[in-house]
Amino acid sequence: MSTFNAIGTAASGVTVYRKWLDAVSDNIANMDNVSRTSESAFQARYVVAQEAQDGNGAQVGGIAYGSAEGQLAYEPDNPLADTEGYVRRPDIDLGSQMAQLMMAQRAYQANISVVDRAKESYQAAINLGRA
Amino acid sequence: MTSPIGALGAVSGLSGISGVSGVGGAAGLAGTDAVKAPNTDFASMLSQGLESVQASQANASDLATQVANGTLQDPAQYTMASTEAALGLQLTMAIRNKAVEAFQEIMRMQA
Repeated sequence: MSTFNAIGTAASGVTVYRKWLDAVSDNIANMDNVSRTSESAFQARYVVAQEAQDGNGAQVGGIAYGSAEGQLAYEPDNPLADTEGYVRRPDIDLGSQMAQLMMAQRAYQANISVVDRAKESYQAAINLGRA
Repeated sequence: MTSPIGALGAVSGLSGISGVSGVGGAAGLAGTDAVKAPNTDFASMLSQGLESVQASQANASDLATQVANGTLQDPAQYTMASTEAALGLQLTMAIRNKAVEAFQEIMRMQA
């Protein structure tokens, strides 16, 4: 592992950003969930990224959750509405999620291209010894 | 596979090479001896390298099985492990070819 360290380090970043992508897709998938006012709303998932414990790369330290209260919406026609006509919707902003999606995607690609460049560099070094 | 290369390492006379680098010690570099001190022999260095290549190959093939099973969540993990294993094997082949070349060069000397 230590011989080709850059690949392992970038791979840890790839894993972190894949988890962020997973979290964003989870949030967007549950964006329109409706629950009763007596229940809690869907809580947005946020990935907590931090430095890896062995010092090589990054890791996911845990998942932070958004507000369980969500937003109260007045929808008297909704079958889940309470006696006053309110339902609970998750507090998720699609614009912010889309922005996070773009950041996660680009960072994922950046880490992949680090792997690619590291591979090319190592290969160049090996080819130098081969000639 | 390990032992023939180890034999090559012994034949190609690394001790002669380190004798040459003793010239650096004569030039008065105090640090040279300290650097040379943890001198593991070439054969054990090679076998360590081969073991780590073997481990990365095994890791890559484990992940390949997981991809086939559908149990691996992150396909990028497999591609990166296989990249690492492939690089390790390329490095091994480069070193092996060099060792064989050196051996043949020495064999040619007696002609």
